[in-house]
Amino acid sequence: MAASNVLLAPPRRLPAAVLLTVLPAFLLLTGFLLVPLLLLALYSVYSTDPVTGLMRPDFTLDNYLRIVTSSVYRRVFVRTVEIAVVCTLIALLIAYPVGYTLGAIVPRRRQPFLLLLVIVPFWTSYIVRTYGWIGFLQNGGFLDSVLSLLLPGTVQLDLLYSRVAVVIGFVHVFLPLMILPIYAITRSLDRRLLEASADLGAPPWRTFLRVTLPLTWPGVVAGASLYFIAVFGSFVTPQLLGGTGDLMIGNLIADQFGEAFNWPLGAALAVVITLVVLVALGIFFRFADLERLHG
Amino acid sequence: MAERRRFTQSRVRRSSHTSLTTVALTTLTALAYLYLFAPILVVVVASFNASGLTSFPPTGFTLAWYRELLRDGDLLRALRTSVFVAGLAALSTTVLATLTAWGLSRWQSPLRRLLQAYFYLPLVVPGIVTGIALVFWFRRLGIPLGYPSVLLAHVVHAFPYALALVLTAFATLDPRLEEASQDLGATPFRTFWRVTLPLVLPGIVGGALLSFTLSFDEFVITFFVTGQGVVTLPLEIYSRIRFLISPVVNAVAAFVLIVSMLLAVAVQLLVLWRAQRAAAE
Amino acid sequence: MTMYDVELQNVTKRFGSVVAVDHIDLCVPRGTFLTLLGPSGCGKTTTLRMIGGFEHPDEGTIVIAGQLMGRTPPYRRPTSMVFQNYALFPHLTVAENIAYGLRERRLDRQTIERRVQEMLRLVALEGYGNRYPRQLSGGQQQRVALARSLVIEPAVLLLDEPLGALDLKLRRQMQLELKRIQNQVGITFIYVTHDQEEALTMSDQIAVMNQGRIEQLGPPEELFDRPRTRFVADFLGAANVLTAEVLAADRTSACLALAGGRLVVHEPDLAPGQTVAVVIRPHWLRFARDGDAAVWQGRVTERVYKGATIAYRVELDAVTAVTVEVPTGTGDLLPTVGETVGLAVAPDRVRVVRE
Repeated sequence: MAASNVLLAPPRRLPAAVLLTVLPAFLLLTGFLLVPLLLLALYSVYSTDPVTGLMRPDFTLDNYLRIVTSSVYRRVFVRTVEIAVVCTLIALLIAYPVGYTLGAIVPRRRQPFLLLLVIVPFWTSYIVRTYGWIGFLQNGGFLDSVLSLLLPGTVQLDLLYSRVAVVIGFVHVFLPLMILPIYAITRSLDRRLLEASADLGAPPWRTFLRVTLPLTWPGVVAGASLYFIAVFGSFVTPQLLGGTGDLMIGNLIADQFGEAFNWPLGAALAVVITLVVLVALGIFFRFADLERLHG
Repeated sequence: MAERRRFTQSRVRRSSHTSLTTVALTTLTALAYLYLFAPILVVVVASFNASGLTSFPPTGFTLAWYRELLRDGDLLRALRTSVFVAGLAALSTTVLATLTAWGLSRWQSPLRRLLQAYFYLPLVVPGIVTGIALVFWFRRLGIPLGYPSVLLAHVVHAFPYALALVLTAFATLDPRLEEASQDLGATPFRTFWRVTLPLVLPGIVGGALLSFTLSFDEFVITFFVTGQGVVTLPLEIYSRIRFLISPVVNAVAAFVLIVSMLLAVAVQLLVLWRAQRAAAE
Repeated sequence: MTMYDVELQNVTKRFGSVVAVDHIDLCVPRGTFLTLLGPSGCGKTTTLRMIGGFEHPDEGTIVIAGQLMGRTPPYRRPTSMVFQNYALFPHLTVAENIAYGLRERRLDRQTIERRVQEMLRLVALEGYGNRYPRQLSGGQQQRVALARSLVIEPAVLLLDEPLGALDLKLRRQMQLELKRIQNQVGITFIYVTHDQEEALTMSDQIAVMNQGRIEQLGPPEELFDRPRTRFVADFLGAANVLTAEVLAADRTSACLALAGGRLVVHEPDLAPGQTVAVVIRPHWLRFARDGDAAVWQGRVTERVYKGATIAYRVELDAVTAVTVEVPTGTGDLLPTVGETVGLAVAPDRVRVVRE
């Protein structure tokens, strides 16, 4: 009954006690995330003293200009986009069937357990899982030894420290981000719609294209945006699994703190990452119906 | 009659096709699971492998690498640091998340949604951006990099996850239960103690375990905001594997994996238990 | 000491710009089974929740058991509520649920134990004390909710559509059971429902609510036989509502023209030329036999067999049709579709109502 739902809703007015309870978290996130992010934006227009290498409070767009004009930075930026896009597409090819299977094919009572198996690796250390790929891919490692057992005398794959290794690592490490929204939306898919489509004469592949895919699209967009954001800002995977030709923006930033130590430039790079993330988020909120994802 | 025959035929065709698709999809899913667990299995197996290598087949079973781990002062120190940091971070995050969730669940307005979205901000800011922004800020404030900076960063990082769990627990709580309690003579305080808290406790415990796991595994932000003398386990592992693979790292990695997975399973079971109980009602 | 358990005076409640309850007055004598009946959104639940202390009126006063309530919170009111979906505590057993309010009252363990057992017996759930609510059927959960509220001996028991979640058969059974329990404990029940059958079966008094106001208050027979408004007539049972013109009137009665027929009704305060709404229940109408003065002539267009009765649709003229319900098995010869029939009604049955 609509009326009684309205009545049961918590009061609209904000009592002082409620304000007090949400205040600490608000202060924490403002003081240790929002303000630092604003500071980051500020530092990105500071300059660096060419002699001492120290930061000077200035207003200059030199850092951004350098990123745009320098062929090195442009190359890294393009490469980062490239890697992120490729990984997102491959992850989608894997995550869609998995999410669909979990949501629509596996019986309901077995879903929680299988879902658990997707979530558990996601909650275990990123570093350690990436480390596992080193052992898996390195020469003389797991894959290599299995291959030489099956096909003796084959050449070494030399997979580690290559683009392939980076993609394998990335696809793996954030895969659950993509599977979960697709699973959620598939689960809420009304199976009778598929039956209706079949009943009206559509063969399964047409049903998939005309009913299933459009209805699960918000889940796909949600998963893909989250996934893209995660890959785009990473630096650990290329650092551990890639070669020198596989470095991404994240690595450039990390380097500005290590060897190069150019804070304003690092800040400007971080702002660039944030901008790309914002665009991806915009897409996410534009297309993903969050209510349905949670239903 | 003709119609009926067509109906049966279409049913048969559909179901045979469906079963073929089902087999293909199930196989694909199984392979995906293998992929998800491959690096984890490799590390765990290698940690017991006599040769210390990740090659297949293993040469024999040994606990030597775990014994070596017990003698490795740096790794043990890093483990202790991580447990300490994660424990404190989990405690503060959980208290904060519970307080916030209680407040949010008691208040409905467009502003509440906005505030909730704000609380999820750490989820979407890449770790590397958070990391360097915090370094700038800590330097500016003159807060020395070390335990305080790491702890603060971890609480910020884990807060939205914990909040989501606790908030779900509060959201699934039927407000009528609290009304019924007051109706039967319990004051608001007694109601919180006898009804609200017991019912949201699984969510709170889940939030605590999750915060612990997140803090324990956190690498990217920690990499930036850590200072002299605070080397968490992921940092220690990272510094070692950049240069070479070592059997003792396999052992500690396997240990970390197993601890994290147990915690993750515990959280998920709590969540599931709640969901099933909710479904049963 | 007043004879009323609950007195509402001029009570108004607004939610934003919506007036949920609009200046209502209501007095409930001790021991009455009162039903607030109305469609969703009519303000009945809000009224109940104000009595329970979950909402506070914007205007007006509420007096319960002789005490002015003001902003008294639920936990200090002599009322207890049976919620729509029972709101049983899922983490407590049946016995613990029932004992909940007793523990808040700091009674000793033996007393609590004894009272819980008494209650389980009253609601016919002996032996179920150690189960959890989720292990019970809907009807059993309903009884636990009832026991949990009754055990604290409230002056007034509030029930918010407590049977809504049960199936029809169980609902009928629980209606009788609720009435039995009310007779046994003898306290005031205020019951909210949108189900007119439920209201008619159980209530001593029914208050029909519409748009935040009480349309009519009275015993079930009075509301059914003598509805004062078109809304009440429509909401309680089936009704033919016709528009009539007053031809002539004196102090006690009036002559009405409706759908080509003429009727004399005992209704004061009507003026010639006035247009009024008239309610005739389908079972008050009958087919005119020989020597019976037919008020109308009409043509049967539909006939629906309903077991104990047959419902006819009879067209009186181009714009007016009425439903007639006659009992079966009386041996009378009943008309068929297409037949032209005469219709009669006892004048004292016809009600003139407000729009």
